[in-house]
Amino acid sequence: MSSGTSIHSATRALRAAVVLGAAALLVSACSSAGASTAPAASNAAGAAPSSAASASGAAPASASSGGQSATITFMEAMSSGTLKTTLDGLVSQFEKAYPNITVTLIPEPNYATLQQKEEASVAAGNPPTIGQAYENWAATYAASNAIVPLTSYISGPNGVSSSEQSDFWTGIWQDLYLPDGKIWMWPFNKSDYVMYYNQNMLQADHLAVPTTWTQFAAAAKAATTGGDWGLSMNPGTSSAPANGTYMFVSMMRAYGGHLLLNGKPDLNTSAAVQALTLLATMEKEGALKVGTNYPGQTALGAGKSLFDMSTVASYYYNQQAVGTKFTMGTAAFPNGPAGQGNAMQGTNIVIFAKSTPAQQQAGWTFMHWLTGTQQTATWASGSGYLPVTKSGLAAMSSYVATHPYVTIASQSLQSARGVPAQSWFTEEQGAIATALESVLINHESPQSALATAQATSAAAASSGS
Amino acid sequence: MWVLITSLNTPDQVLTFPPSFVPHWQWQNYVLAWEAAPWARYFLNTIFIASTTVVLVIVTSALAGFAFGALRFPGRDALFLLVLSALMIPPTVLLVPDYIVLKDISWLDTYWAQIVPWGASVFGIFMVRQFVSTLPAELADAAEIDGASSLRYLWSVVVPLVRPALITIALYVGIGSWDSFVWPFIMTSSPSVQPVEVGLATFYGTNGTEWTQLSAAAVFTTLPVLVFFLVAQRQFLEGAFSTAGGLKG
Repeated sequence: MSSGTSIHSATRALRAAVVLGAAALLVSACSSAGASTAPAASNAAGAAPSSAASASGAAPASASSGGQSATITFMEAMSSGTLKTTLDGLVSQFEKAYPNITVTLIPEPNYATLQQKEEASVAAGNPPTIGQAYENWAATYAASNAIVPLTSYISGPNGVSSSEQSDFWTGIWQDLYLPDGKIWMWPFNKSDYVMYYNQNMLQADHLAVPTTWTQFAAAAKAATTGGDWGLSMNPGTSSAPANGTYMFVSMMRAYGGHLLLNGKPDLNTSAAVQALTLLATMEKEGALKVGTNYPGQTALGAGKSLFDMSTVASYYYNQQAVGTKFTMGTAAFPNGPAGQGNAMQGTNIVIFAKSTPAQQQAGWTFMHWLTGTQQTATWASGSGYLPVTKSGLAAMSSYVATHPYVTIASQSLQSARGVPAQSWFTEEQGAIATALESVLINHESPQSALATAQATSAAAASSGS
Repeated sequence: MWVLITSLNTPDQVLTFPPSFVPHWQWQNYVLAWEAAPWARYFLNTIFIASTTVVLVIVTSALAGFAFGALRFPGRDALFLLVLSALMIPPTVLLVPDYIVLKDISWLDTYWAQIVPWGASVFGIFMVRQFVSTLPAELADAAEIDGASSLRYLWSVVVPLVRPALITIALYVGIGSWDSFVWPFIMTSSPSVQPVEVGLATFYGTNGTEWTQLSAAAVFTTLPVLVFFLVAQRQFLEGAFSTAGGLKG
């Protein structure tokens, strides 16, 4: 009896499970059908005649009356904090000004993930309309015809006038080109490096704000007492560069070195050895520690390290980490014998080739709109990134009054250099990060580590990978 | 406990050294974390994905486990070894090919991609097979004499007896699906279909991490699993430690 009851109840339970499963699959099918038809619908809208394309790229008023609509997707890594809220706000503003264009953000948590997902979507033939891209990513995409050059948009009806061009910082404008001499990218979230420091610690040690790398190393050494130290940094890995990677690049340039000379990697130089030896000495003295996941921010915020060397975009997070514990100072990156070698950071925006002409035109309209004076000022003030135009900087005077370093950091965009727009630079920056790890963790000699990095980079360059 | 304390601290208190284990009761971190992402949608998605996956896994595990444990057919053991060998392939290796397959069948960014590929579990099949293989042959013989087909024998006799195993599988798969991150992170891009774990990545930015909000979100996304485990722990442990199959001495 009991066995029979058990069998019957099990049968009922199983039937219920099967019915539930079928219902769930049905709901799933309906939901996914909705999800999968949405892009098709937007494509249909995007595949509008060229009149719609020009309407979306024209002035807001005519765009509103164009009648045709386009939905564009923007794969980006501005997914947290004020970056997210500011970008969301700008997208809302844009959609009000251009009601025919809908911008769907596809946020990714960081650049490494963004790159992987962009590459995967390109490989799968399913890329977004536009996406953030570093210069070397753009070079890779361009080599496989995955993105389109912006030349026709820049000279088109919603193009860029010569006065608008001269409004961009020189370094920013030069950064838009690939080696073929065409513009493939449009500026978005640009930054460069600044030196954050614990003002209280600096004063307690009777130290001045360092202006050269030698002074920087001396200050870091002086601060290394009683369980405190000078700097924590992330050297990066072969697959993911970090702030420490670019800090070294800046140092190497400040000592007269180059990432690239005559189109080839140039890492095994006396300038690079000098820069890496300085870091190795700091590490040996206990003034430099390595870590992951923003170790500079963590150590500075905990009041344990004197410096954090990271981009201006870290200001919000650093200020959050420091709070009221001490006064955080901000200064320009130190100089070397060859001046300041600041590495431009942040990405540009590219248009992927798979989208329809109408979507591409709408994508251009959006990215071009983002660099308008007010939008630039809004983005820079909200995100902590630098204004990419001079007029943008002038329009954010109240922000600059409370963040005076923005002026210095913005002006250094005149001369700051981005990463080389070569597809193989991904390997070179990986080789640099590996050299840093070898020296700072495994205590290999700088000469030997840089020779290996040079060999790896040269091999990548010659294979064109 | 550290996550709970962090979720109630201010951002600067999170990074004090030595660390402070006294929370500062910043309840607004929970409000900010909740407002930072569409959590209601994420929760609904996760519940739907996890429950549907569990149903599928139970059905496929029962059918395949029964076949491998009770039925006799040529190549059975070789096929079972083949199924088991799937455990030896690191899932990461398959991410890119899987991504391309899902793209080809237009399943990227859908619920399908998060449910169907996980609708069969090698662990589940193995577990049911182990339970079924301990059942005495007399049960099958008796069912056959009574005129029951193999499926009738499965539904009416085997399933009730292997219920502890099925419950354990359901719990493991349910929790695994709830905790799933890499797969939905790669295969989806729209919050409308993404689960809670992907939502947590909202707080991990390119220039820093919102530790207090991330911790608050970690607390309210983990809570349902914790409650579920506490409620179901007896079944969970019974199934996990039961080695004698569905029969008692």
